[in-house]
Amino acid sequence: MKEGKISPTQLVFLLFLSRIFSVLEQTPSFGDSFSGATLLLSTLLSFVMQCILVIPMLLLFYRYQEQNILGCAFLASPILGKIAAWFFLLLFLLHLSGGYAIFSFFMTNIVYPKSSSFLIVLLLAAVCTACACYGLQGLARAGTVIFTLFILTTAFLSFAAADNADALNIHAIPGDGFSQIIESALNSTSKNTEFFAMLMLLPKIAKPQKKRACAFWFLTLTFLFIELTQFLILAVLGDFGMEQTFPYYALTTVIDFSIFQRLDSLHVTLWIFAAVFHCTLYSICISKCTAVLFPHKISRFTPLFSLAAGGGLGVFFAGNMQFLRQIKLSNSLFLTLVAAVFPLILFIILYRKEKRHAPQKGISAPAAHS
Amino acid sequence: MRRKKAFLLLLLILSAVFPLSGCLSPIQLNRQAIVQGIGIDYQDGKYRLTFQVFSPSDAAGGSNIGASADNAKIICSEGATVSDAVQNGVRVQGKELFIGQNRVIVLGMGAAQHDLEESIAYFGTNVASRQNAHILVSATTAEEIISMKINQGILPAETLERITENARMNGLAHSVRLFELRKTLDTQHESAVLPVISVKEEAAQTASDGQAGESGGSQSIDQVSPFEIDETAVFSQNVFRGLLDKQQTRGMMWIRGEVESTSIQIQLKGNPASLHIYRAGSKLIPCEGSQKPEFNLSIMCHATKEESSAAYDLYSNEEELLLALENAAEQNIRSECDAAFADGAQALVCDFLNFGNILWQKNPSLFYTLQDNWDTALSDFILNVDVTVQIDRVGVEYGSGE
Repeated sequence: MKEGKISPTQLVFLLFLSRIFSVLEQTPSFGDSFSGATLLLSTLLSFVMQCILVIPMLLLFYRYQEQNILGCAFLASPILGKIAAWFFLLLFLLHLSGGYAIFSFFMTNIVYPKSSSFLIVLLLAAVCTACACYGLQGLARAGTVIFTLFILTTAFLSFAAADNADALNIHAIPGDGFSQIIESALNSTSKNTEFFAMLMLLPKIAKPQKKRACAFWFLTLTFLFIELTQFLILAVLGDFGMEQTFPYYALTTVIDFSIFQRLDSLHVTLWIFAAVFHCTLYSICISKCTAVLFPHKISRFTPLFSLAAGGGLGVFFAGNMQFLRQIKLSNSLFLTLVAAVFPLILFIILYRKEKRHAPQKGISAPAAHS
Repeated sequence: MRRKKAFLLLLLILSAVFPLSGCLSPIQLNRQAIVQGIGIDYQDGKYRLTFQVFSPSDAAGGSNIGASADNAKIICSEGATVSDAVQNGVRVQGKELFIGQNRVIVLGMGAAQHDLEESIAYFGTNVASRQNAHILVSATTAEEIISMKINQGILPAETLERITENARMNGLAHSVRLFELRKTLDTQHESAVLPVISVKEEAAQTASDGQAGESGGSQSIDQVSPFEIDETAVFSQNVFRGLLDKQQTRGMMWIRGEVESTSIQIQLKGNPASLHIYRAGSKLIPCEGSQKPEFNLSIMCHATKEESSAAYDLYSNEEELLLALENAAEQNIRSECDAAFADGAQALVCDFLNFGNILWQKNPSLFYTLQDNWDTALSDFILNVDVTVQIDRVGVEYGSGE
């Protein structure tokens, strides 16, 4: 395997583990207020939407095999490349700090109600920064192990929950169901902020021809996991489950298996792993952006920067969750513009540029971009 | 340089041990009262809580945990609200109450009738509270049930939990867990049902006589458990509506498809006989096309012959006897379902038979039409019951034995 590259399977596992964070933190207090068959159908529709959204990205990366989104933007125009790098830097920073804040929100509400959110954010930020220092390959290796554990744990939880499940708890789609399904599907799609990470990391796989398979398996695995967890939550707790602050956590507190009186400790373990992978992945993406913007002399301090800026913002958001809800870090229109429209525009610009300069081949972006 | 880096890294990893020592603000085990059962009563405008805590008795300097030992202590506290009473519980005994291992919550009839939702709200939303604890209603006070001594198992609360589970498995009583009750209370159309536990009269009598007789005279063997679950309390929209008797309770369980196995007592031309249902299944399906909500209930039971010796002389052969047993059992189950439907759901104006949930799933448009006046709409419902009992196991004896 080439240096700095990871296998397609490893990238799928990494993206999946990162995405699971936003599935586990699914909470009505962040606007996830749909339930019943509406929710299940909307997840399916959202999967289809995401499969469509990923097409422009794949088109771009198949044509420019070695370039990520910043590299492609740089090829289109160096100024556009700089703007895109600043934009993605801010975007990843916001999502990183949002991740810290949501993790702290969960921990202070559920696990350690008496502890300070500052300490929790600080600990997670320190761990994620340290993990990010080991680079993408190190994280990818750990991802394979954790993914296996994750699947085993999920299978165990599903098996234990099946005893309490009753399909009668899943209510039919209401009269104005179609609009609700669309709304819920858009909401669900907007949660997949791993699209941004894909824009940075998809060209990092060792077999460039596997990009399509990589994206497809990531979306499929995520879809299957979300559909399964939503089905279990609804079948065990009904609409009431979707009114809980953390529905998936609520499910694990009510199921017991053999001598285990409650299985929420398993959920907390999964949650912590997912949070570490999510935040570490975003920290790595931040370093990809700074590598484009600054010379190595400065960019080598990126871990310190993401620890200070991400942690600081994380503490701020943790203390102002209402503000975090209002700014809505994920939005379906925004996601579409960044993850689908922007790559499509880049593809068109580069295609036309290529046609115009057909004889002059070999325009290349700086090494740091790819 | 490499070594220095490696050493620093090792130091960093080891330093993580200090902040990650398990729990933030930990409470030592000896400072916790591990609650196994909670009783909630409402008297004179105040909540009275009774906590049964695990507390092994000291014997010769060591802890003696065993079925014969007294492993539980009772803590009582009062407060204007349940959370206030919990706070006061800490004050009276100096330990932090840990409710993460709680097995059972008993609601006194007073608390259940006052405000069911308010009574359990604290335990429903508390992070540490066990959401799959069983919920029972006491025919009198919860304190009476929680403080009653049981001569079986390590802890009385554990036995209470087993009684509830066994009653459910034998088709005698419906069992409800805290999260199931909260889920039901969350819906408008669904009514909550809770098993009613009471102290047997003879047990209460023995308890009072026991103290007098301890000084001398003959002693009888202690009863294993002084409790029985025979009725079911029904609540609709947080209001207590009434009680279901044994027949209606099992009828409800048949309709809801909750009977796994049970024994059926029948009369064959005035002679007692019984069957054991070892497998049962029921399906409640709404009829399509009818103007009024109409449901078809089909119950299929596989049974084994139990007691029938008194009826042997009435039938010429075993086949005839089995056929008569099957018919009588079908009639018995049908009357239990009718009792639950007509004398239970329709008389109490409560939907505890899952009609709403089934209609919502199978015929949403009809459900949405009736949704706002669901309870009153129940009086127009029609239930057609079809029962099939098949005795396919005859036990160790076949024939009349003439």
